[in-house]
Amino acid sequence: METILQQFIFGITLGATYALVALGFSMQFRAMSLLNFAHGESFMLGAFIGLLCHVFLKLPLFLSWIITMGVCGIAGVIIEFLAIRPLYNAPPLNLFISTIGLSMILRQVANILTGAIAYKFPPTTSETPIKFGQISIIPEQIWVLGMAVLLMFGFEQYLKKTRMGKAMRAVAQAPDTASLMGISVLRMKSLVFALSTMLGGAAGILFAPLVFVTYDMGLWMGIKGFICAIVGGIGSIPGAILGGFILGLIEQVNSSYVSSSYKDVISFCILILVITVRPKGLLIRAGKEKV
Amino acid sequence: MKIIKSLIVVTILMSCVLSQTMAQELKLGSVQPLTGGGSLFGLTAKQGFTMAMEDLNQKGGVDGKKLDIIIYDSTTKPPVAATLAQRLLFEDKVPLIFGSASSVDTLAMMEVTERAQFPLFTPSASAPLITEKGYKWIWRVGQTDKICATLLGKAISRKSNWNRVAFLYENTDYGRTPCEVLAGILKEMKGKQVVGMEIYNKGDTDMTGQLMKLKNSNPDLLVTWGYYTEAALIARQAQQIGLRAKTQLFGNQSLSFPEYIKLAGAAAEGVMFIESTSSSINPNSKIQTFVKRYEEKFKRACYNTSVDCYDGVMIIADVLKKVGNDPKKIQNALNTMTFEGTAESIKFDSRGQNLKGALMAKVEGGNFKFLEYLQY
Repeated sequence: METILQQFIFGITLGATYALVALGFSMQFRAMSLLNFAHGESFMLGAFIGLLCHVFLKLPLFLSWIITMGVCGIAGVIIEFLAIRPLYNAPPLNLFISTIGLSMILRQVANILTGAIAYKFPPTTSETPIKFGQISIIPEQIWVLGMAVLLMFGFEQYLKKTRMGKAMRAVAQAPDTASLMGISVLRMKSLVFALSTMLGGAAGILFAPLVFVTYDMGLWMGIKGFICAIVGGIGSIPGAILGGFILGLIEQVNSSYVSSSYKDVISFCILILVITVRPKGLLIRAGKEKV
Repeated sequence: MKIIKSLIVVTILMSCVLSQTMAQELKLGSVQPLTGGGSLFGLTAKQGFTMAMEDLNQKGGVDGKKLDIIIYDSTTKPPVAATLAQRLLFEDKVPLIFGSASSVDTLAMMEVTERAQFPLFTPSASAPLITEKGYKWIWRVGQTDKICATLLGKAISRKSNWNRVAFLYENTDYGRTPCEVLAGILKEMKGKQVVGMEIYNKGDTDMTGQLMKLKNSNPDLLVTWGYYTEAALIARQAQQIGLRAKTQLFGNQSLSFPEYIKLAGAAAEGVMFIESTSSSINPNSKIQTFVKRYEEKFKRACYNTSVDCYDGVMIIADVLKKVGNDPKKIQNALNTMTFEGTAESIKFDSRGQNLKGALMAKVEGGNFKFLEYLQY
């Protein structure tokens, strides 16, 4: 029982990070009908900017967070302007290929700039486990989980409550009507891109102390975040979060109870099963186009 | 016209003079990954060669001839390495080629030299396969992971408190092969038990699932085999789930990179690993003198590759002094002679592999600490 509970904690911590990345995918798809394969790199970007601020420039953590999210937001706007906007009227496949190219460019540049070395990010809280009976909980995990939930909640509220958030949802639902109502569709798309890159960057700086910062850390995170978004139902915000937690838990249970050799095989089989049974994802009912 | 004629005469004269000095030089060849993915190994190999050449030439070279090693850049691409081996063989006509520090390069070069019945002497390249193909014209000074696994097996048999052994390794040839060899050895031994074998993929960031599963089987020793980044994560995560209380972590050679301690931080404390005797961790006075000289000369840390390459050149200088340039005679000499290496004596078995000893080390106080020698 203790082990199961312990597994659960590790699983949802991992899942929370997946969920943050998945949110970005879902948002971009919902507002821009865009599958952005470079989104995983925002995770890497966030981790490196956080590392630069907090470890090399020795800025306080709070300030490092603000700078990281700010820089990621600006990077999002620039990327959208240079690589996505010119292709809005092109066939979707061109846009898709543009994002794949973008992902490779970002990763290679990071490789050249950082010298392909792994960097250590100091723990935000503490790595020493606290014992509760048989279960040991690491304060860092609680921090990661708490911050991730806070970010997701804040983001949801932003979309629901603020004028900007409502405008974004309007653009997602009916771009033409929104445009007629006086909302600048292009500006909203740019804002969506900035926000999702910011979330990805936050996931990066959040997760960095649990692992190391490397130039290729965004690759798998991107793929897994994308899968979570699909499983939960792409376009659905709660779906992305649910997808993240599900994948995190499946991976954890697999490697400790089934087989570490087949960890990824089994995870992906379950995912294929889910999308076969529910083609639109868990939280989107068939027949209803992106809500 | 006259000018052209005199130019030709001068050129002919010059080339005569040049070839005269050439005759007093002994040229050997090598292909090394000076750029590309293996460049770290290529450069450390080159520096080992440089030190050996300087030492030899200071003492009058080989039979009065100045030793020079032509080093071509394979760019860490096996087809390029094979082509360059051909160039050394047929154009530069060197009497012997030193193999590349990158295993894939050496494997490609072997095909060329074996066909030409020509000696390929490899100071350092780690893939076990190189000396397992049964080729007659290949020799290797450096350690292989399979030999390390065998030596570790012997060490475990001597320790009465290491009875339940578990494995966690990278899911590639690099991690799997030595762990399977070691598990096979342990299964033959009385009182030793393999209680779990788990894997991870290169680049994985979460090993807690595997570690928790292994924790349930109560191992005394957890052997890990892979690169130092994942090994550092394993050390940290094993500590987090409380696996380190009863279990000794034991890693492979990659842990001897200083980056391992940097990445694992406090979690590195107490982790043991196996390492080649050519390592700077070896307290042997000859190794320590070499490491000191190397670090003063090149202003960087000394890796095993440099020591193995230095030893390699010294061996070949010895052989060429004794038997001359004939490939058959070189082959015979390498198969029968015993040589004096920096760390220990070097002798090649029937497949051309030097059965090198290893050492056991531990992380203590943020540094590497030598524990004991493991003789072959």
